[in-house]
Amino acid sequence: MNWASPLAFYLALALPLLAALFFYRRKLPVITIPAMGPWRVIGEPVKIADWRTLLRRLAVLLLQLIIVGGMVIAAAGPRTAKKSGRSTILVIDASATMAALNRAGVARFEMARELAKHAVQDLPGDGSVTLVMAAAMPVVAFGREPSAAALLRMDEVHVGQCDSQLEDAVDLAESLASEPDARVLVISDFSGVDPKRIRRSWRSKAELSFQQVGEDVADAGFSAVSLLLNETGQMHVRGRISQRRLDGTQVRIIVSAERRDMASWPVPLNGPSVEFDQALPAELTAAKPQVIELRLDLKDGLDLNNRVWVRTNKAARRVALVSNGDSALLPMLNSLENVSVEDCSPMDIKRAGAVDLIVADRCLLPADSVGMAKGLLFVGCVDPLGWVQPAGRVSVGKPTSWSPDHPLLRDIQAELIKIGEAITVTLPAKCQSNALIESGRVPLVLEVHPGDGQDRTAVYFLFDPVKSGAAGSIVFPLLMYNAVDHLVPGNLLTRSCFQVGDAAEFPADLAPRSVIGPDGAAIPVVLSGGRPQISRFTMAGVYRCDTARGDEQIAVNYLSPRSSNPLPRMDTGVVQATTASNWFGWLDARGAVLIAVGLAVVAELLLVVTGKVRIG
Amino acid sequence: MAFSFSPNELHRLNRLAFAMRNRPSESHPGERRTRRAGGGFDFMDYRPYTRGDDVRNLDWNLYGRFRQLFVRIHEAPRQTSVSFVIDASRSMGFGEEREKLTQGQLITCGLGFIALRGGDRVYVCGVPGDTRSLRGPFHGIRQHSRIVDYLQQLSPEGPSQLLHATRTLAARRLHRGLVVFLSDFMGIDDLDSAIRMITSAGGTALGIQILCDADSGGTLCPGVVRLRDSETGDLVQVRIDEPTIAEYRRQLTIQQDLLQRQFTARGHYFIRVTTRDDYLSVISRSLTTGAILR
Repeated sequence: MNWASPLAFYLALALPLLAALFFYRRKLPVITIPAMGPWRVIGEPVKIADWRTLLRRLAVLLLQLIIVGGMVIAAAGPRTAKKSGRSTILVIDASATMAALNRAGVARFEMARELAKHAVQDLPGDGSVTLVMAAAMPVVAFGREPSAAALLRMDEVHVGQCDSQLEDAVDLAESLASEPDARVLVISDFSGVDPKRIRRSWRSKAELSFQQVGEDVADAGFSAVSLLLNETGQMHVRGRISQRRLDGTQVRIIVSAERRDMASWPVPLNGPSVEFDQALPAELTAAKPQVIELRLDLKDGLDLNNRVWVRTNKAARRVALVSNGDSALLPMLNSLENVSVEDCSPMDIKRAGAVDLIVADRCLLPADSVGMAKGLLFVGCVDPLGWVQPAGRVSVGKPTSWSPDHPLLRDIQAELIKIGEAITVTLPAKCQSNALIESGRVPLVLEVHPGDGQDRTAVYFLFDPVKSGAAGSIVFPLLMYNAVDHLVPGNLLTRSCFQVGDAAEFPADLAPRSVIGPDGAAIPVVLSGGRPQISRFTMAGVYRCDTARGDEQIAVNYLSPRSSNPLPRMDTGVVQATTASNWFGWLDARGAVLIAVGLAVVAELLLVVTGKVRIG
Repeated sequence: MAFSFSPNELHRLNRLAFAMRNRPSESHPGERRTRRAGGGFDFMDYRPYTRGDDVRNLDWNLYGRFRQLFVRIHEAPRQTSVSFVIDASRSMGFGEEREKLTQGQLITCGLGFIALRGGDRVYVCGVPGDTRSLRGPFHGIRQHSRIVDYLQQLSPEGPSQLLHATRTLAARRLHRGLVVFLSDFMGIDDLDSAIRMITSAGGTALGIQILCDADSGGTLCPGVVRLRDSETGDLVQVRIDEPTIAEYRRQLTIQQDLLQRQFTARGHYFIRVTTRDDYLSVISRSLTTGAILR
């Protein structure tokens, strides 16, 4: 057993002082007077102490001493004895909430780092340290380092702007804790994660302990934000505010652009998550691309995603959905980001005008309408120009071959597609075709470049989504989304905002010469698949891109849903953490002990001095 | 502790006697005048002669004048009882120049001398004690030394039992005479019952309260102390300072006024002395001023 703060034992001097005062109070000079007379009215009666009273008073003294002694020991911070050669695995939460500051202005992550350093300093010389950072993905920052090296490397880790996967990180630590005497220490604010659940899932023989940093505070922040154009061309901002412990209060959203507050409105917080939809001032239009800032006027609370940015230039991808009646594809297309859908029949397709994509849902397009769009998606039908020609229908089984790297199959496990019947087609030699999914030799999804001199791509879903039963599968909507995104790629500069962790592709003609992050650092732009790309946004803020079209801005936000549960406390070995280097933190915990001990001593002194109050 | 007493000082009390308002309580012949006819020397009245009267009492002069026989009637002087109830509880063991008990013993000696010299029968009862603690009657000046001997056996111990002593007197009908209480009257709850008992029997009570400096709180030093009652052992914790002492004295005055009213409201006598007072002066001045002695 060793101690985190041995200096706290000086507080133990209060114990003999307490006992001395207690007995001194009992040993007041006794003067025998002839008779009590008026003294009985003026003085405080003292009962003659029989052995029961004496025992009770001694028990009171003992209780006082035990309480004060317990507080002193707690202030000293007992720790288990060092074990020689012990392996320690530290898991530090690096989620965005760990960047929150306490009242003294110290971030939770910094407190966690100090705690981790204390844990490492307590290790014997031959102990080894492994550090697992619980970020968006658990990352081993370093492994099996000696204590001295671990201390140095601990300064290299930083908090991220992401939601951490703490349970995954603890799973990783469990797999690393192969030695039975290993010790795993999890340091987190446990915001949104229940340590009980982690402990229940712990199967290793290694010792698992938790240390909590941070205080539970009322809090609110944006959890989803987007800009929309309504029919009249006015911009709307729509989003959600998640809150904790602010139920029944009201928060104000302030919109500012170009360092000027443009609008504000109150939002009553009547639940853990409140949605808002507000028209923006007319001067904020899509025609003038700019980044606007939304912030919550919140005095207390974490300084965490209560400020977000969105771009006003939101251009829609125009899609014409052609069908012979009510199409089941309409809601799927409407749920796509950045897509406006024109629902029409083959007879009035001209009404749609120029569009980016035509989706034909089990119908035959007029031949002259094919030229209206560069992208064509035929669902359960074929084109009118004979790029592919139908040959009949055939029963098919599970897909047997597919192109897993094709963007149309992104996030899709093709073997899950269940199609009972497919349309068989013949392919003219002049068309360049690519069967993306096949069942035996029957193509189910086909990509065709007609080679008619137009840069045009057609994708065929060679099955009836309703009759073949494909529409009931989760895969089909994904296939639809991927097809639309493949045929009409989303433009980086047309998205209203990104989230931390997103990747972003630039159009080839708008390849940025440089990208500057919110912290002023240059962000590398890499080529992937022939397109310039930012592989991952790591920080919220406004990114400035120097493009051929001029200076463009990209809004990147950290939008984390907040847990409505308070931070867990003290019931699964979680210890409220403080650090010795944090003076105010020390005052929070040990200062309370100091005050309590001082009060006990002062109370005894007062009893002695006044002589009018008697306890025990 | 035996008190020192010098009989030579008693000559200062030779000229004093108890001024009794009540009828003598004793049936023995004495020197107290009564309204009863008897064999005394003081002429009271005449009455016609009847057969059987002592012919020695015939007034022959009246016979010569009225030719009728008249018999001279004389007063029948009687003794009265003077009972001393001396509080010898622990609280009487306090005092500066002398203990309160000693002061009480001296006053008892002095008053006992006056009573014996006046031909009264004297009883002495030291409390606490049982019925055997009542001594007497003493009569005749020669028995004064026996009173002194008894008083010298008293020492301060135990609680006050004035009511018990009064009942002991009442059992021998002594409460019809003069009952002198010598006590500090501190912490005595049953005094009123004792006085009522004497009043209803037609007796006279004299309360002599003997106080010392400790009773007035003058001996306490500032600070927080615990005070223990010498008789009951009760403890109180109190902070001694000027305001507390002033409050104590105010309360003490209230209690003493109440005590005095208990005696005087029923026509009895009450005086207050301290242990610093000379007992002869107390007897010759205070008691004379209080119309108890003449």
